[in-house]
Amino acid sequence: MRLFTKKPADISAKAVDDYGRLVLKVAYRIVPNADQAQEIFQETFLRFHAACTRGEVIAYPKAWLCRVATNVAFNARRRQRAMLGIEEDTAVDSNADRDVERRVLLDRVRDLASELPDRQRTVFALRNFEGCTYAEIAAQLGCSVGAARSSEYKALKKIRAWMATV
Amino acid sequence: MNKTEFERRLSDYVRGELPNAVAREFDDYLAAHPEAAGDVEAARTILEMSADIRASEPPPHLLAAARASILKAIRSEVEIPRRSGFWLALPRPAWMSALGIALAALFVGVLWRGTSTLAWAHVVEEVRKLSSVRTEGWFLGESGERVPVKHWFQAPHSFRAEVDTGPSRQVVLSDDESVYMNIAGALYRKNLPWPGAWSVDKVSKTLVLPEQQKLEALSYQIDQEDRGQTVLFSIWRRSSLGRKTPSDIRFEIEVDAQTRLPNYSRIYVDRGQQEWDLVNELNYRDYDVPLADGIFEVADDAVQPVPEKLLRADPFGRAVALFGPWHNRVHYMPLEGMEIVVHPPWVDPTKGNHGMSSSRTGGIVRYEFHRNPLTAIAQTLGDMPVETRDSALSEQRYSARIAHRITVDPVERVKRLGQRFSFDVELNKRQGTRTRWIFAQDGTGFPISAAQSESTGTNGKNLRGTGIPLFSAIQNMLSNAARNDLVKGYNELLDEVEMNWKGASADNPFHRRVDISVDFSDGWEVALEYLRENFGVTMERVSEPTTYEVLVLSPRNEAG
Repeated sequence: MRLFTKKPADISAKAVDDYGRLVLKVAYRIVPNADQAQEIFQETFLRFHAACTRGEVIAYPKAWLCRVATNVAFNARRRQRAMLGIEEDTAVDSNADRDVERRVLLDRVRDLASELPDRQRTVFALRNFEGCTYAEIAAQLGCSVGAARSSEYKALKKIRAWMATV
Repeated sequence: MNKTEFERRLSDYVRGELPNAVAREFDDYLAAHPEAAGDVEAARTILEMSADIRASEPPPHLLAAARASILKAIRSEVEIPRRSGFWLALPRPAWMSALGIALAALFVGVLWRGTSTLAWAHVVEEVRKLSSVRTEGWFLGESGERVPVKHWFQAPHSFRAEVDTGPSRQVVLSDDESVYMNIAGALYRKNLPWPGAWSVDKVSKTLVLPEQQKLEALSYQIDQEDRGQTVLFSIWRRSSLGRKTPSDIRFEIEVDAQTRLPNYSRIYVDRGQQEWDLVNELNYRDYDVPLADGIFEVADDAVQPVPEKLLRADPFGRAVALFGPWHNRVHYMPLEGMEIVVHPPWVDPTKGNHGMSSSRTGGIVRYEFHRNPLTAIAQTLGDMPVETRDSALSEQRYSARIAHRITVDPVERVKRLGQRFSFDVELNKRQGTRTRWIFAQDGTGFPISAAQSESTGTNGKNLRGTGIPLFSAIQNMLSNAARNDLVKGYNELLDEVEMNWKGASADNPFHRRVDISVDFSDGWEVALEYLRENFGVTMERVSEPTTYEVLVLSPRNEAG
């Protein structure tokens, strides 16, 4: 309960200390670029701080931050993708850097995930990028475990369909 | 189990997280609904890739920087500017540009993951304070001999290495802009394509950025053993072929329990059967000892042009690699000229992703084949067409890591592959048609690129880049056009691509670096038109009967 009696700056600072590493990981796994991940980190905690300043009580800061970081990161990825255009047919030169093909595939998964509806992409990312259990995801999203499972299946199904078309 | 239940349990099934009873129900459902197998396989592929994503971690320094700036903003209640990369303008601590961070970054780059991170943080803190380091050690040479090596690091960007002794001794110096090599008494310089490319600082920063280019930095396991006066950190590197393939390289770093500074570092590699060979050892002799500036200095007038034969052997690549011995397998030469490490398939090797990557450093070519048929591997190694009538050779896929010296004959490479995989290789001749793709330039001038470094990008149907040698751009366009069926009749293994220039070599227009931006997705004719309009390049094709060599693979008859 002490959390609620602190100043907004103290609450936010504690959240940074407690969950900063987690938020940065969430951001980086979706947008594997140090500068952009840091920007997402900033954006997430600024939103958190703004909410605290407005007097909102965030009962489960970890869940809140995970969800917001995931959304901010996927949105950033979509924006970036829109700016760069989509190259669906990236060829790998015979002398390409090692792992370039794998990198392209991983980026493809990230991009496809970013196109999912909000809940599906959040469930997909938390389950598969962060290793959260369905129970944790359900608690974060305020839904049932069954709904979380269904969302993940729908996400897998869509990603599979998209991968088959490119 | 009904369809809804199947859908809800699918990912748990793929992950092997279902209770036995439910897993049996799932198996029963799959047996009754074979069409659902596709769902399982697709989920498996996606989850495999997701697992790789989950293994990625942000650079170790990033959290501190991000945390500091957000806390400052929160405390001061000042809004943080949101423009991209604003943190680049924030003041950096002094160690950021110092050797301390260079070495710290190196170690953290290797060690920041895992349970020992906290313990290692103390080591990093101590290393960050250093102004100089001197090491002595050796690495494994081409014939298994121990080649002596000495290193001097001095903040912020000075580096010197001495490799070997006597007539073979090489001296390597680097700063922010150049790398110098003293070979047999002559001093050569290679200007770096971008500032700071090979300074210790830059190399270490590269190592700590497990960015897209550094996937191999993502998978390390750390063990820690407290030994009283010392602490031994063991770092196991996972293969970039997949997180579940065996580790092929292992680092050991012993640190003093009190000072938290390294005593020595060692590198072991797996020759393929979990037989670990010690291939590199560095002993840390001095810390913070003043080093004479003279050992890092180079007189400009002493530098000579690099001979062509040295460039071919890429001594700079090898030399630079020497002070990055943590980099995968660039610190030693493959024994007997070639080595093959085969990874046992951990999933059905006929399914999933497959691909190949290669790199060349210091006269060694390294390949990583990911689920490739043996015929494809043989064709790559032999650089000529491969034939076989044996379906096992053409269909069975393997993941393998192969390295060879560039001096090993292509046929010999495939024979060595055959020794490993029990097939015989015969060099035969075939009759066919070879086409000469002859490019000529009409003598008109064209703008030369102002770019300091070469940069290219392609989706297979376009080419964009700066600073590309014209001949390289043409070859790139032709190869990609052929792979995408935009040009007919080009056989990469048989045909010849000729850049026809009869003038002085120094004036050769095909060697000039140019900027390119062309989309030839509508056909090779578009590419030709672009070359003609912008560079005065024309092309003609001459086809002629030819006899060419093929490698015929056949299973070895062990009984015979």
